[in-house]
Amino acid sequence: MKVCPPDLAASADDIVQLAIIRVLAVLRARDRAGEGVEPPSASYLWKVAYTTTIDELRKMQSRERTRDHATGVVGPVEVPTPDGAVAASEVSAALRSCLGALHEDRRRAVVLHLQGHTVAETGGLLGWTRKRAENLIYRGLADLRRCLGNKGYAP
Amino acid sequence: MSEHEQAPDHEQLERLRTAFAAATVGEPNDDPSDPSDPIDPSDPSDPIDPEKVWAAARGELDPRETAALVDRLHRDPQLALEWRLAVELSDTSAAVTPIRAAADRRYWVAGALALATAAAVTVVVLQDGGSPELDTDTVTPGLRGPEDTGGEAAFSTPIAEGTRVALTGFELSWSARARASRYELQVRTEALDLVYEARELQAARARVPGGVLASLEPGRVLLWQVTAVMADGTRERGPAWRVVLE
Repeated sequence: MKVCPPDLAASADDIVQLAIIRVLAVLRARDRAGEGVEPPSASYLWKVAYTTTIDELRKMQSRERTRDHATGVVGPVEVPTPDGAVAASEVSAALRSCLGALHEDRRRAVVLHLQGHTVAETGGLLGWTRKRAENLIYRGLADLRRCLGNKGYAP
Repeated sequence: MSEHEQAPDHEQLERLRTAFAAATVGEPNDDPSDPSDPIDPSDPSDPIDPEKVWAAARGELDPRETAALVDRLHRDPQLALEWRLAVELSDTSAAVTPIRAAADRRYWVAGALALATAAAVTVVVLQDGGSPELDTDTVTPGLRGPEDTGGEAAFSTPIAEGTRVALTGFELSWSARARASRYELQVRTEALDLVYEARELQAARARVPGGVLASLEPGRVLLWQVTAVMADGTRERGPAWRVVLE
């Protein structure tokens, strides 16, 4: 599991199944509307798979939050130790605070890089040249390390 | 280039990425000394269209619109998660052979299913590396292949498929699982809207109350599915069965 949040791990199967079924529902609706003569493009199906997965993810998160808030029930997921959870939360908060303090373009570049995009992809997404993206990422990361260091965190 | 402007090493970058992804959705900012950059708990009344996130993450959106979304990423863990899903799924799509045009509808529907299955399974959870067994003629939530039930017979129910049930409420029952500590039941419409849910069932039966059926009309098909939750936390899901309201 690469990106499924831990608190939803137990529900991942449900999300997958419902997403698949919704893809099928879309296909059948196309068929009924007479749009099904030609096969849908692969990119269309990937988009449907993504949007339906997100839809189910949001619904499930909403239900989980409501249920946990109402009952205090914690699902069968691995719960980090209190100390570990606090430490991770503090690091995350410090990181986000430092990101918030970065110059706008440096922040955009760094955030996309932290989201997994390469330098070239970051430039492409934001309409920059590769060189500009590279400079902004490196300078932004330098600012970020400095800020985290000032807060007592060494990345 | 100064010391600070050198590229971080791979491990350092991965640590930063992990920390960035670690924020819990809806996590509040508990640091009162730092109110300048609270985490936006992703206001449910202002959700971003998933299609827009998909387009942005794939570089299909105008850079200015992309920048507006990116400006929200570090404050909105939900959006950041959905963006990463889009990136992962997009990467996966590039690695999968596109569906070929085919006159045979069964072929492309099967292809579509395989593609969608690969997408969801790869991105959300990859458990066993196998492809689900799909029946394109009878689409029900029971889409996965048989699970390891430790030699126990498969889930079953004495209620025949398509049984007509009363709008005033009806009973459902199923075969008990030897190791189950409780059962969960979901009843949905064919459009998969949730009609009824029970999560703490101690017996292998439940009554769906008429109150939850009030807005449904006779003839509507309902899908119902049971999950057995074992004492050790493992779960076994049964197939989806159908009843028809009368």
